[in-house]
Amino acid sequence: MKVLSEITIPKDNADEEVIISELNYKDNDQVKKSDSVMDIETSKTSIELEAPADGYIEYLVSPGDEAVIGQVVAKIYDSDISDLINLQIESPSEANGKENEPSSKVATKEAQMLIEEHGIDINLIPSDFIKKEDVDLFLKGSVPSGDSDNSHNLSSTDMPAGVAISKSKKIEIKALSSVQSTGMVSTIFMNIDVDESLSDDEKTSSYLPLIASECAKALEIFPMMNSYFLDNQIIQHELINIGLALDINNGLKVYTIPDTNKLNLEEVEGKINEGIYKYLRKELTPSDLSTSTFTISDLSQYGVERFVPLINLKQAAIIGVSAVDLKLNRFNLSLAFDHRVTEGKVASEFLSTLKQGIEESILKN
Amino acid sequence: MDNSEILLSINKIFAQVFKNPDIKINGNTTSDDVKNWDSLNNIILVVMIEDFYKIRFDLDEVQNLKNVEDLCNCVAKHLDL
Repeated sequence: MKVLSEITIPKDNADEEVIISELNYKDNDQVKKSDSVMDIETSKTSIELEAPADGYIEYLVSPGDEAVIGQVVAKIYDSDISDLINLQIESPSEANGKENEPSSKVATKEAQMLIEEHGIDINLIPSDFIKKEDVDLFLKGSVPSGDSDNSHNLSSTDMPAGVAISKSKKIEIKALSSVQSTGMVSTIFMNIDVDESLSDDEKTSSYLPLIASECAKALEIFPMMNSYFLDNQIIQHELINIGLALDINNGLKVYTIPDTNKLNLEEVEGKINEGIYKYLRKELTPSDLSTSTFTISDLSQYGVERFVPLINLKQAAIIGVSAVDLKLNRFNLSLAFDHRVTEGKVASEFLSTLKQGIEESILKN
Repeated sequence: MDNSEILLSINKIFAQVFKNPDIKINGNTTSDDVKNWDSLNNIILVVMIEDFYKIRFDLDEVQNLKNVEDLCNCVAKHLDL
C-alpha cells in the first residue's frame, strides 16, 4: 500500500483558514483523477477539491473541521486501504479517555472524530458499531451527552436566544477583521455630480461599470492604493484586479475582474454581467473570487446615502458607492483606506482622480 | 407554445422582477421602457426566465438582447419551438 498523492488546501484563496463542508466519498472508496472528493468553504465561496490521481481515498478531516492553507486533508493510495482503516478504529474507551470503563462499542474513524469533536459519551449512542450516520442522528436528536455537570448551562431566562452564525460567516468576520482591527483605517468621502438634465431613471442607472473602469485607471496612477500591509512591509500587487462585493440573496461574495485596467468600459460591463450571472447561478469559481486587489462595494440599489465599507484581507482600500440623490443630482463615494499603507493626502488625490474620471464620462454623455 | 404564450409568461416574470403587477410588455419593449431595467435586473430577469423554462442561455445571447422580442425568440430557440 503506497500513498500516491496527498490533497492539500490550495493557496489560491485569500483566507488563511477554510472550513471542510462536505466529504463526497467514504474512506477507502475508489476515486478517479479529477473527481470532486471534498467541498471546502472560504469566506467568499465554496471550493471543490479534486482527486489528483486514481486510487483509494483516506480522509484526514471531517465536515465542520477547520483547515489551513497547505494542510493535508486527504490521501490517495494505490490499493485498498481497508486494513489501514480497521487499524484506526479505536475502542471508545480509549478515545474517550476513560480507560477504566471498557466498552464493547467501536466507532469508525469518521464517527470517532465527530464523537471527540462534540465530546459525546459514546455509551449513549445506541449502536455497537458506530458509524458517522449514527453520530449525526444522535446529534440531531439533541440527546444529552451524559455530562452531569450542568453548571455552565444557563437557563433560558438567563440569556436571550441566539442564532449561531455559519462557519463561512466566521471566516468572513476573521478576514474583514484583519485590517479593521488594527484601528488604522480612515475613511474619506466625495460627492459625484450627475447630469441634472437626465430623467430620474437614467440618473439612477448603475454607474458600477464606469466606477470599476475609472478605479482601475486611478490605481495605475496610485499603486499604493493597490497594495497591502503584511509583517511591517507594504506589498504592492502586480495586477490590478477590481473586486465587486455582490450580495443578492446568495451571501456576500467578492467577484474579481482580472486585469481590469486592460479592459475598456464595455468589456468591464460585460465582465460584471457575467459575474452577477455566475453569482446568481452559484457558479463562481475560486479564481473568480480570490484574486481581487481592490474592492468596490455598491449599495446604491438600497438607497444608502453614505457608508463606511470594510477593507478586505490583503488590500489597502475599498470604495463604497451610495445611491443617487435625485434632488441634489449627485451620489456619494466613500474610500476607506489602511493608514499603514498610505495616508490621507494620497487617498484624497486618488479619490479626487476617480471623481474627475467618473464625472468627465457622465457629463460627456 | 408560440411567442405570444411565451410573452404572457415572461410578462409575469417581469412583474415579479420589477415589482410591478400592472406591467405590460410587448415585443418592442426595451430597457428604456421599464423602470429599473438596468444591467443588474436584466441578469436577474434572465436567471428567472431560465429557471422558469429550465433552459440555459449563452452569455453572448444575454448580452445581445435588444428587446423583449429577442428574449422571446431566444426562449423559443432553447425550447426547440
